[in-house]
Amino acid sequence: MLSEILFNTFALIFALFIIIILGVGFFLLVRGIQIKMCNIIIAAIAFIGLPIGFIGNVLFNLGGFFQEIFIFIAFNFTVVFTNLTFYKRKKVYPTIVFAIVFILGVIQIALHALPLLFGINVYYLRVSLDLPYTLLTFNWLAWAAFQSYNRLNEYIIAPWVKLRYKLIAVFSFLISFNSIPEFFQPKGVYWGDPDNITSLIIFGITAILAISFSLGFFIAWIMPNWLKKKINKNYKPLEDKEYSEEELMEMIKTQLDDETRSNK
Amino acid sequence: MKEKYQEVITIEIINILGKNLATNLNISPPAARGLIKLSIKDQFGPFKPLSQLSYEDLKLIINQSLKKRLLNLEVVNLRTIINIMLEDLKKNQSVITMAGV
Repeated sequence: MLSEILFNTFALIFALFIIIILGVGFFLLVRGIQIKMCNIIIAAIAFIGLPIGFIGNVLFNLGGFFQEIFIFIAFNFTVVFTNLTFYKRKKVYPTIVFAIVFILGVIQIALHALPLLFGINVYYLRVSLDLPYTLLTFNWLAWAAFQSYNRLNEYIIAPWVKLRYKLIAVFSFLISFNSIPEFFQPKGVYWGDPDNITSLIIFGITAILAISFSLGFFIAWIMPNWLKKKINKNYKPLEDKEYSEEELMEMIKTQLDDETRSNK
Repeated sequence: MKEKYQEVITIEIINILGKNLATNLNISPPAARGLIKLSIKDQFGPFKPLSQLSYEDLKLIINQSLKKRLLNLEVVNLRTIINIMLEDLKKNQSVITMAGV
């Protein structure tokens, strides 16, 4: 009885995760098109791809192979988003990370196809490789956001923008561990099976991690105006006096001359 | 309304670049920000809204119109200052997205 209640609760949490993540995806898609930002459209595809995979597998029984293809799209697009947003002019590390994630993704798809084609059970090999796949994808984003946040801390910029960096860093870091519970999933047992306590607990942990991630990203990207206002309560944007071009250039020349004189 | 909001976002970038330009030239931050705004106007004319500036546009502004302005002001170490500005833009490029959505 209790296990049935727990299973239904975790299933509900998981369904909420899918709805929220889809909502964030469509929001980013609309915003990306509105402001013509290619990287945001890419992030949107990542957010929409992930739930499509889950829905296809769980609701329509399209299988793990179908789900893995959409996870592949989501993870690779997440890395592309990170590279375009944070490392547009850096070449080496972003390319290496993308190449590793791409290869790990192809391996995941292949390892999903093997049991279908040859009946070979490669569960633990697949789960072992899923760990670096997930860790790298989301920690790369977490690290990029964290690094940028630290760099921007010295500047006077709107606190809600800084909060967005923080939320993305924290919740990407959190979701990067999502594949660890998979190690403990008993072989041959249905995911979250109410009759198997280990499987049920694992289902619960992953559902809680997933909902935390989706809520964190929901607040980060679709931050309501009242929250922005609350966060910005003590923030005064810089307002410059309006100068004519002549006044401004004169002012700069004077300041530069003062600087030259003081150096002599 | 959307344009206005986006403009505020681009001003965040101008603040970041302005602070660094002010430090490097040893001028006041408002003067440095003004210089950057003038350079934007030089590059794209008065009709391009700040909201439509991309990373590539900002790079072009630093490399061309700001460089020209600094050259006219006979700033020493011009090349170093331009390189520092480009590096600052590269480091803080994510603000364009993070503040723009």
